Amino acid sequence: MENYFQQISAYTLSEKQTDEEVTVTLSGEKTQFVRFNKSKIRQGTDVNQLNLSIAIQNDEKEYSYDFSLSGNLKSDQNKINEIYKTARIRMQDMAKATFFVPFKNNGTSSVSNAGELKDISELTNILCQETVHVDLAGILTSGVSYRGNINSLGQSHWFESESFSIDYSLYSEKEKAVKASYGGSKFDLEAFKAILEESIRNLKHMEKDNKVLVPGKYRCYLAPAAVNEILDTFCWGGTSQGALKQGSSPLLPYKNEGKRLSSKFNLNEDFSLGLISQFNEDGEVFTNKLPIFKNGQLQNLLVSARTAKEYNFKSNAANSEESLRSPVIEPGDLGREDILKQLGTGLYISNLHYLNWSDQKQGRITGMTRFACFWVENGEIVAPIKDLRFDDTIYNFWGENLEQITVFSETALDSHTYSERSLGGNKCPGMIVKDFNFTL
Amino acid sequence: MEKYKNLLNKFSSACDWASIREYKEVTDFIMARNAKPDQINTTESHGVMVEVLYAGQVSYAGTSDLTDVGIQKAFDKALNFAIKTKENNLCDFDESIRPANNGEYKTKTKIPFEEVSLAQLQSSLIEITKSLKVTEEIIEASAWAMLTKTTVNYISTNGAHWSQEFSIVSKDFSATASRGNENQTRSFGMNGRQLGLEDFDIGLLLQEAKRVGTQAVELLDGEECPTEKLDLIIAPDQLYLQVHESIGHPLELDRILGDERNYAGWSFIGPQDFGTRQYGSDLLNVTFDPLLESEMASYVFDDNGVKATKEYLIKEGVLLRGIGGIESQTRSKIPGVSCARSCDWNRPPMDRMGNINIEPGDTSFEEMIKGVKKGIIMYTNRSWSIDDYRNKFQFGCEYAKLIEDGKITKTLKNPNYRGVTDSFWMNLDKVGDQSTYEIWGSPYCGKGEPNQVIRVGHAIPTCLFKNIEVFGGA
Repeated sequence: MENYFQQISAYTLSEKQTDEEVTVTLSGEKTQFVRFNKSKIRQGTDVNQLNLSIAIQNDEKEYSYDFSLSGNLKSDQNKINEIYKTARIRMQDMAKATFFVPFKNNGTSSVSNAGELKDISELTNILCQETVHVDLAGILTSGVSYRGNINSLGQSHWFESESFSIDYSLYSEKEKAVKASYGGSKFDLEAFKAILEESIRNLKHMEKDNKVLVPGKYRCYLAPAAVNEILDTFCWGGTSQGALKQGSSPLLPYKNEGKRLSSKFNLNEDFSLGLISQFNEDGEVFTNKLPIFKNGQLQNLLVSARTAKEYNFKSNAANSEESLRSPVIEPGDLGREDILKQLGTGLYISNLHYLNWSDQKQGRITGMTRFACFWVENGEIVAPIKDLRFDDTIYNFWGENLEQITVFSETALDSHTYSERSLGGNKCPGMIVKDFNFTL
Repeated sequence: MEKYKNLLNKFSSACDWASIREYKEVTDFIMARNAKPDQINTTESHGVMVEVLYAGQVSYAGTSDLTDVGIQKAFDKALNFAIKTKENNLCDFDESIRPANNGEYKTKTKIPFEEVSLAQLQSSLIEITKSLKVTEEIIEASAWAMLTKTTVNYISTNGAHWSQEFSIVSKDFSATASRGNENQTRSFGMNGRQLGLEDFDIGLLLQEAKRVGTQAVELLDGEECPTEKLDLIIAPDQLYLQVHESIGHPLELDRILGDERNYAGWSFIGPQDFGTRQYGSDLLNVTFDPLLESEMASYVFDDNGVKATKEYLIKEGVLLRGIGGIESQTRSKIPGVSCARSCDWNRPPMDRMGNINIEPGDTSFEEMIKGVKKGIIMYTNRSWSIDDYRNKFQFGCEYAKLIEDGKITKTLKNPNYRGVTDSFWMNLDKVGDQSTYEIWGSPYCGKGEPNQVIRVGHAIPTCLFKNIEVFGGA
């Protein structure tokens, strides 16, 4: 695929006019998706797609056109000619860009993470066979993803990654559920069986009747998957310098009212996870590791070239949304074996669901408990709980109410597949939080 | 279509049934910020989805390679998967799930997109941001528009042959006001309609922008929304999302059948509830209406090729039908609607909402206010969340007014409400008449594995609910 991208981008650049600068970006995949219900195949879908974006700058104007490449050189060349024609007509009467950031050469890079992927039919049949005695719903995703970026000033980046993932949940007859996932670059049946067996054991723990709790403040252990959900929501505007300037950031109370996070809280953008390309849509390469919060103190926000130009900051090669692409919350010192003891009496929360800012400008998030969540008394699991809605601010649960962070962390791959398979992920530890606020 | 017909003739002997759905969508996105031009870009998605029925299972392969060789490869992949995994099918379908319908549909438009250049549209958006900035306290004003043209061509081995062309305008604008540590944002409310550029009436939009900017500043002086149980009047620009989350999603038959359990969740509704369950008060009448002109998700065929008809989902409060296409109806034996849709060429169809509407009642807005001793009117969604069974919800709105003794009195900031679906709709006390009825639509309804985001429409009157838990900010 890299060869075809080189070929098609060379053609695109050869067709530019002397007063134009052009960036060509590719996003593509060959992916097989298999959706399961009741441990059987609901839908199997093979997707072969290549999307090319041509961004043109001329006379401080900028316009981009994204389209589906066919993979057939002649037909794609014709399409590129059409796009240039459309773009040149449209750009004639366009205004100059307000905060124009000219393309530049941000260097070259090439990363290829090859895998050993099983044939999708074989893997599907294994999955059905291994789960024949349980009720599994979920999705198997397998294939290769591509990202490429070349511009007329000599910049060239390539990222290619082969991987699979099985994201599933198991259900009991009483509609109790547990969730788990397994993924990587090579399927290992024994490793999958071990995860599945643990899921089945966890599901048995759920068989007791639900304990119904009244809304209020509870001491909680948030497992890494639950922290991951909160972090995902925080990334939605939480690290953006532009959002802070435009009055929509959850860090407004940090900036204006002196609200602080706990000294135990350390958050970094850390590309050592190796899950996503380090270059952004303009081909700017992010540093390997950038501290966002250190000991609860804000160190850096993400600044795109556009925000840098508008508000006179220095860009740190953030993407246009100024969101974290590879965030890592640093671990603490709470051992796995001490979690229940340190929690004492309270809630063990494995997963959270449907989180959203309930008041973004105050850093308040709401969401639901989901899957295996338990009531714990004196360090012993008593019963699963009926689901609860939380509504609380980052200044509480990552601030003064954050008591302990686990010594271990879990890496969660970004499992979203809107338009195409997402890349990236994050790494989170678990946390013990006091007075976590439940409202419904 | 002739090319696809020839290919299908080749495919037909190797499988029980096959189809080709060609999907092309071109979207122009135009934006302005703070009286200045912002981005203009175009996105085009074009490809085909090949569907193959073999041994009871439909398998899918999508490709952006539109050559005969590319489509043949897609067919081979779908067939090969179906053959090799035939022992593990969930469903046992036959070709009756893909009716052989023929026909065409095209959005009715007065002003085609081509009549106005993107630069001209951007100039209008710049004017809107100027109108939003009613005082220096507006620190951020932005406006955007999205013009989408979608063409779907469908042909199958059993004689289905249809085409649909959609023209969609989506838009929004917002203003953020700031004073000291107080920041408040007010917006028009994201809305999408199936129309031409007649939906972009700049005179009207400039007036609306001024109102939005004024209300953003007004919120800086607003009182915090109280925390108590009150009468709550919900305007259509918030109520449409309430309908979406707490009526639309829980009635989806694929959720009830468990397909969605690992992602968006299950439903508190079970198969036994259809035809018997009192979903809301007897004032509640909810329809699936794919034929309402200009609503976002109007069409004459769903992506399984089933003809679209208007149906009551809930009549006088009683649950009658699910939101399930022909596959879910076959599996569940529950009456459904023509709602199997896919968001693009690269995703298979599944049960989607389409246009889910509340039929208007007979109460005017003035009568509704008069009848309230103490209550709140809430406008325009700013936050939403609901559990995986679609029961416990919480919504936040941008702007609210207090009602005291039958009169609108003060402006309230940070209004929120929460509740449980099951009891919430039973508390429906008044349904607004035609004068309160508005057509809203969102381009962003997410669901499914692999994930799909799709356009939905909701035509909604203003409604009054009794005894709702409302609360304010942090």
